[in-house]
Amino acid sequence: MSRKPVTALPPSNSAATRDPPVLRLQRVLARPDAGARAPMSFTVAVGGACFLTGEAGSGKTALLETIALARPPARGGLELFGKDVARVRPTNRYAVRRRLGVIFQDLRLIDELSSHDNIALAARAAGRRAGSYDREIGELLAWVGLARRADTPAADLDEEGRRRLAVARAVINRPDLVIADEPSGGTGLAILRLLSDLNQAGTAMLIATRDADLAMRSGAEVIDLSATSASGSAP
Amino acid sequence: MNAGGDASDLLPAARPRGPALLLALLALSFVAALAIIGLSAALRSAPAWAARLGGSVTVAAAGGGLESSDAAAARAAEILTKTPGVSRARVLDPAPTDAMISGLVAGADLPGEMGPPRLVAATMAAARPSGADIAALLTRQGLKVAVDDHRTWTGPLERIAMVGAGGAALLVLCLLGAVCGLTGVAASAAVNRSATRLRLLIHLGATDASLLRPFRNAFAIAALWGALLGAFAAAALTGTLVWSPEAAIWLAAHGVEAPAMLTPDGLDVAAALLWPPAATLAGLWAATAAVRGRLRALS
Repeated sequence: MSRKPVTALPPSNSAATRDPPVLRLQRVLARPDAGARAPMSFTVAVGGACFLTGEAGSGKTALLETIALARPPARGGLELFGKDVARVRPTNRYAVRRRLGVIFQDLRLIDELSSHDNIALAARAAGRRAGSYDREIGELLAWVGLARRADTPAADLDEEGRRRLAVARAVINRPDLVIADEPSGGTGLAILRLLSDLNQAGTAMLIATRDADLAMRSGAEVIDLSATSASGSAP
Repeated sequence: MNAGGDASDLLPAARPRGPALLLALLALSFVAALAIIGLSAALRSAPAWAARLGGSVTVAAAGGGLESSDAAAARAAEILTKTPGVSRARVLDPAPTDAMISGLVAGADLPGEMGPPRLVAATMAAARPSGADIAALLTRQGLKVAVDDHRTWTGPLERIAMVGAGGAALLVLCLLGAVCGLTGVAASAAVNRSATRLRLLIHLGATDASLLRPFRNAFAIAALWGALLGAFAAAALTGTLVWSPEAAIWLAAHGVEAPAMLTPDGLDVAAALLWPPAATLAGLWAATAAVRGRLRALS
């Protein structure tokens, strides 16, 4: 773990850090086959930012999936928004998930749906009434630069457009923590700038990337999963 | 979807694929409704039939000495009419008896002075003498008689009816289980077809209930339609066979003649309508359990 001066993703304001952290990992092993890898312990404060780095196969995606409640940790304790998720009943996990915005490595867009509808899907999943989010979707599409592609099927967007759309979908429900797995995908810094904007607005970030240099330059907390042991705290 | 429009098309298709499930449920429901009609008819008719049998006795009176069979039967009927506990006694038409006996004796010569025995049917009151008492009474009067107390048949008849009704009830339960199995498997398959989108919706914060609802409703409706169509088909077939004169003639021509008491009546046919709600509830339960299990696995 190391820290660099703040550039792209500045730490959140200090007032917010008085709240319980949005994420706390205590000796977490994401996969049972983690072998000799040491358990992870770190926290992400309200409005904080943290990069997970490591080469392919180092367990970044598995760890993010664990944090996104897509799989239970093989070992250790995971707290989200001050709640021990092991104590949250499976039928109530939706409430925790609604406070997360997830940008999957494979994006998981619905190709046959338009940009608008891909975002609407997230709003509907969060229990919002049809039509109550259309203005927000318009604003989000404009923010990510897809205002003119609202009716374009996701399959017809280029790679960067798809990633922009994934960002918009992740934040439609105003999450407290955005989890992004290789969000730029080699398409440049535009996606990271969007995430930086969000972070500056107070949304906590946990971003996995293989680009250790980029993470270092961001100034945010960097946790290297290639190391045998990792712990830290993102302000 | 246009802005502000209905977003229901964003949710996964939670429908049975193709008509296979509906047709299978229809076939199961047809058999189940027939079984219910049979069950109802058996439960209704067995006690009535047993009561009627228990209240009657048949006396076979044979001639002897100078007394012909006809005279012996007339005397037996007269004695029985005056016997306490016997409501009514009458000599049966000899023609059917002769026809039956001639078949049994296969053309053998009967003693001319005896003639074939004649049958006397006696209807008994509630406080009635036993068959043995009647036989003893008539014998004391110099008559050669054989008494068939129909009460001895009521036990076996009721047992047969109970076995039949139990078998029909078991069949209905098995068919209900088959509806559960079919609906559950089809609902699981529908979830699997939409697994990718459902998994995404779960990770986006959808509740189990919101994802479960469209599947549960679609498959409960499929069960309802299959059950309704099957039950109505069974009721229509039964009604046609029972109440249509043409069907009665056709059945009689093919040697099918059910005792009138065993023939389903309107209430028995109406009992088939118990099946659709039962099958719908079974389908609802099975779809709910199957989809809930699959969603849990996906999350």
